[in-house]
Amino acid sequence: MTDFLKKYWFVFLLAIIFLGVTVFYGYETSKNIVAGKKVNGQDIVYSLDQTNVSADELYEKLYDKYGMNILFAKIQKTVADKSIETTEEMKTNANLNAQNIISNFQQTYGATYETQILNALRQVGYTKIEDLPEFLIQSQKVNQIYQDYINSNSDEVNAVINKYVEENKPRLVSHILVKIADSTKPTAEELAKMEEVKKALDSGTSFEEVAKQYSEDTSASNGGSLGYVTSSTSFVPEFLEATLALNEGEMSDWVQTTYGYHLIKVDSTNLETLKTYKEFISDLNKYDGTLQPKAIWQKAEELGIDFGENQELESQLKEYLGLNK
Amino acid sequence: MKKYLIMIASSLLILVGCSDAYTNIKDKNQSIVKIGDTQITKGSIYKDLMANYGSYFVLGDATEKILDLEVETTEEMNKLVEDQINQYKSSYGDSWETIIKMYGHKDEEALKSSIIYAEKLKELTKKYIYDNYQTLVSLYNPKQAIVLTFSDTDSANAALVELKNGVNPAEVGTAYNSTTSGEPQIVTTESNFTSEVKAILNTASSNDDFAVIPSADGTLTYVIKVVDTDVENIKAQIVDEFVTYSKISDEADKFYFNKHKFKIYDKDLYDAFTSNYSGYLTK
Repeated sequence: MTDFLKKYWFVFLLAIIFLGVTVFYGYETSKNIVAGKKVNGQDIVYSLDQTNVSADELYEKLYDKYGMNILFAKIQKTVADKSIETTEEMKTNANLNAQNIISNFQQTYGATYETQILNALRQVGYTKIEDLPEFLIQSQKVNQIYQDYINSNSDEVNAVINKYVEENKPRLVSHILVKIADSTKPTAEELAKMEEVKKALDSGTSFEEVAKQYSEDTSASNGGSLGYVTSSTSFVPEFLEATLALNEGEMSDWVQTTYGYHLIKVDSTNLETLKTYKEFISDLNKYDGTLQPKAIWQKAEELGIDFGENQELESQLKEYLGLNK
Repeated sequence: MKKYLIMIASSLLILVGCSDAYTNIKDKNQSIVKIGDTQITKGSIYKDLMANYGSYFVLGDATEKILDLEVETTEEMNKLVEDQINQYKSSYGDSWETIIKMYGHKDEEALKSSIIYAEKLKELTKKYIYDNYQTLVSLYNPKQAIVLTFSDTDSANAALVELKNGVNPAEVGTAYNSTTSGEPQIVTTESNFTSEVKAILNTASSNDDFAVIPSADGTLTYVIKVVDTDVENIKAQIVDEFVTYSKISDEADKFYFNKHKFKIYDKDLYDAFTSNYSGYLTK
């Protein structure tokens, strides 16, 4: 035995070192492992003293409170993945947006930014920060389905859109601003400027060009464009009232506000044009919260949604989403 | 010898290869709904429920169990529940059930449970405070004091004359427009006073007379007097003050979670608790 050890001492030394490293690694690894527990064949999620709470028990309670919300989120995700292909453009947008989000969170939360992002992702069913681009791709797909539904021109969608348009008067608006120091006493210079603006427009120069040349507002560089406006846009009352009174292509007379004097023009009230604006789509979603679920449900039906024996569940879900109204 | 070596090697490899546990329900493969050829199973719903709501829900669920073990539901609590429910019904009439649903309560029973939960949680914190009274008193240095706050020195000085003549401090406060009431209150190191006031309160005793303290920026003048420093004499008031401190209620919660050996057996849930509620995990 001694001779054997003397002959193969190096092998034994290596074996002892290997044993030591393995034991140490095994101990270190197992120290941080979350061990499982089973009682009567059921996974235990947590325990307090001798009381065990199983996954099945927790599922019943969680499902009772949040089940419909999660079920619809899963249906939405499945529908989005099955009906919209992931394009390179989606991936690029998602990666870019993910970087922006991470950067914003770093600025806002400092060292805890990762925890904050993870908490937000957990709310929408993702568990790792690396899932952020995937979530953003999902969002793009869902938006696509919703946009397609809005553009589908179905009677049901058009009825909602017409009601929204009637109540909110959405439009694209531009203006030219001449600032007045004291609105009760415009100076000769200020009046002369207003005259120049009018002359330029009367001579046939486009509103856009006149705005670029004369308007004293930050929108000047954009041809005076204020973009998408509705009856709930937070403009001063005089400006909003004048804007809503105009039809497409019409221009107001001088409108006095605390900023000065404005010429306001409605560039478009055309529905097909407005539908291309994300503000219109987003406002419509807020106006009627059932539109997005309807869009998803319609797509799900096209793909073949089947609740099997769970017809009651289908009714419950439709009730929850407001699809039965 | 060879067999023993193989056994030891296998055991070590198994130890090294141990992995974290993830829970699931028994009928995880049961289909809930099918879309095309894709099935959504009960197990996947469970996973998403746990990912979205697991840690927050388990924290509440475990807290409820601890409350059942540590705090009795008293007649007083039941009366409070009844009074609050009646108040809701009286305020909201026929639409009261719709209103409470908007606040996240499924029905009347759920609202009652929620009210009892809140009361028992307060009692649990009180229990912790009573059990750790001396430690908390050393930490927060509570006293009973009168603190009047005036916007000018003249009012403060005039108030001081009245106080020295024995006029009731609450009346003096009202008469000279103090923004704090003249009622004795519990003050601690956590009280929201300026550093000058805290410095005086920290060392003052009940033998000291009323003191006029201008704030460092000169905008306010305080008139203060310590009334009682006997922490046994004013124990009930101190406990009522401590119970409002979130630092203490959080400490109490964590203590009881540790006392009842709260343990998690799901890796995802454990990670969520590590991020958000690490103090609740049993050391």
